[in-house]
Amino acid sequence: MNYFIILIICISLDAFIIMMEKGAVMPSFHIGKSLIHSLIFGAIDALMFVGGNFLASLFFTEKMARINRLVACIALVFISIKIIHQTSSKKPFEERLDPSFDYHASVRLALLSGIDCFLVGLGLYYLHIPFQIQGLTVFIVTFLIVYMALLTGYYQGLLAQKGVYYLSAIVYLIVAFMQLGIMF
Amino acid sequence: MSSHMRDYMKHMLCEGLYNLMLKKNFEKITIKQICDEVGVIRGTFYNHFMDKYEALEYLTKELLFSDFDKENDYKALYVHMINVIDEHRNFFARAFYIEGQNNFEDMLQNIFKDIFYQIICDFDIDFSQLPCDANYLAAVHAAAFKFVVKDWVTHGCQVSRDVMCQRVEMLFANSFKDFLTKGNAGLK
Repeated sequence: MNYFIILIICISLDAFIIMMEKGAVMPSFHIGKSLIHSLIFGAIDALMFVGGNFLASLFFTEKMARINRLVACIALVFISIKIIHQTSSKKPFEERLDPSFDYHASVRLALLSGIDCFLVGLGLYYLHIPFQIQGLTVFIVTFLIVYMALLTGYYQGLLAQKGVYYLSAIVYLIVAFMQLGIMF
Repeated sequence: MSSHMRDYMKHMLCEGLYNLMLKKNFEKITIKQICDEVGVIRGTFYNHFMDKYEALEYLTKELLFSDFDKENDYKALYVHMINVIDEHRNFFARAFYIEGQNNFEDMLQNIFKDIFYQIICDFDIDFSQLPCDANYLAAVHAAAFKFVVKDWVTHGCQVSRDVMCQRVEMLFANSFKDFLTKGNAGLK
């Protein structure tokens, strides 16, 4: 379960960076609006994760746990490479007022960041964590992290943006290698 | 918020940006640092400027023109701008380091263009008989004046401001043809 929570925090770091950027360009900080943005992210990430896990349940049987681990490993390596590539080629973020940031934009961003959740959900079926526990954990962690991101972005600006990205990429890689270690 | 209060707050934010620019590179300056320097929150900054580049443009205009009496002629404007740039040479030198999409060179050139355009329009010239319009003329002069300023500032303002004023007056009061035909006789 600890392993699962660490992974969920890692997945949420992606949303953390995105929403920290959005927090830094918000004209003002409204608690209510920020809670709704966090709810949107939490709900979509949770649904994507559970969706991935559900899809895996249709294909992977108990005997195929080894293949499921391999899928998890590939998904984690893919995500970490994607993060490293995006971070190294990313231009420095310019803080510029963005009054157009609304709930629709939040849904779009949440769906994009939810792809990682879907992939990890697909790969972690072998853990056999009940859907409701998974969903609730992802929802709570993402909700808290996104709210913290908006708060941090608005009041502190961007903090160690690249560092956070690299940290999550490294954790993904470590977990992927742990998967390989278990398999062989 | 009254207009006076708005102007005051804009001035304060620009002063914060000015102080920070003397200490660090513009790229490293964040909106949080500007707000901390002035003692306001991010929302206050965004009430007045979209981003730090807009604040820089406002600050540059304020430095260049806030003390200039518009009743003076355009020659006095050149002298005034040279004096201001010399007075704030460290600020301008750092600003010229800003590169990329929002580089300071283009920003300054546009500021010059706007002011030259206003001057040209004040003269009420009939451009219908001329091969260029007021906008084009202003753009050419702005590019030339920006080159002079950049060259001067990036070389540490080694030439004194008096010599620069003479140089600018000579360069902008005479055409290229004048230099070729009357150069040896001495130009004013």
